[in-house]
Amino acid sequence: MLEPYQWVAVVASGGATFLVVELIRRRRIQHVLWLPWLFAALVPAVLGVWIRPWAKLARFLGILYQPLLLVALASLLSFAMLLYLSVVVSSLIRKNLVLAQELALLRSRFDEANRRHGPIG
Amino acid sequence: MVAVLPAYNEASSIGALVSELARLDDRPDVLVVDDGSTDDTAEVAARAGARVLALPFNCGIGATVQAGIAWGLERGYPFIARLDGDGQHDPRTLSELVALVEADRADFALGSRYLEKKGFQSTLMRRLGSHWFALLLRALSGLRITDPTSGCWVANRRAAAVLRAEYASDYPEVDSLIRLARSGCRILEEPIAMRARAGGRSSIDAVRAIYYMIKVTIALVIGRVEERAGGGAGGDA
Repeated sequence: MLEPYQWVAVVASGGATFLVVELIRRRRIQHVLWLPWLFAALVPAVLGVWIRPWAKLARFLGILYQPLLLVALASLLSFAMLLYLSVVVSSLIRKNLVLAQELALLRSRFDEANRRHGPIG
Repeated sequence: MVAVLPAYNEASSIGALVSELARLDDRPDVLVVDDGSTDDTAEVAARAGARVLALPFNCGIGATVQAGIAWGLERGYPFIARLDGDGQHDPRTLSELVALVEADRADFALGSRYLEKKGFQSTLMRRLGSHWFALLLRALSGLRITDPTSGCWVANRRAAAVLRAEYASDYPEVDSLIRLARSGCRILEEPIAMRARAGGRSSIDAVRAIYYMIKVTIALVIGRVEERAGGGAGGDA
């Protein structure tokens, strides 16, 4: 039988998973981004329900206050998520700059052609 | 030759600079690359006789200069020069830089404010930054450059193609020198005189100067590590 705090973790995780799935369904979140969010949404339920393995791991690592292991894991997960998003955003910035340059160069060629041969279209 | 002038909200100074370039004996074509200005920089530049390449939004100095280089290469110019759009680089000093590249003594001629220390000298923080980068360049790549951040240069097509292929998005000056050196381009410095800004506002204040130093230093060190491991050239400063 689950303890009340475990129910809270499961319900919160369920809510977060529903939200992520809904965003995927509405195509509000791109495929490169949804998998890590889905994973992050499910983690609280997994950690909340299967406590014993985590408690054992904390003891094995010599962590006196066992919930600290979860805090450390949460920090690690946040770091990984932010890093992943930074990589994705950096790639988008690079592509955006290339597109802006290409657009400016094309517009310049178009204007030159207009000047040489009269307005097009 | 085409002189590329990157400009962001330089309506108060760009017209005079374009006119000044047009009055040179060996006058170059002038391309103003408007980096998404919110004032009428592009219109003022066009009225003064410059060609204008307008980026659709503010892309930063690296992408702006790179777009100008691409424009020059596409049109077959043998030499591409770069000066600040704020009028701090005296266009009359271009001829000495061009002479170096034209005589095939260098692929990339860089103007230096510190070789003869003439003209307007920038703030202490900027001078310190510049000297720091000079030391770093020497330590990391053996380049002996006195003014790596001057931003006034003339490149032949070989050097321009290197910069067209890869150019750091912001604070690109130091990184680009390393890329050029690694690509086998010959770099020479020539003294130039700087002037005070003709108008507008500098984008680099004291805090940004420190940020600039830290960011470029880290990028250069990562680039060096990458190079030693057999990877690509330089980091994205």
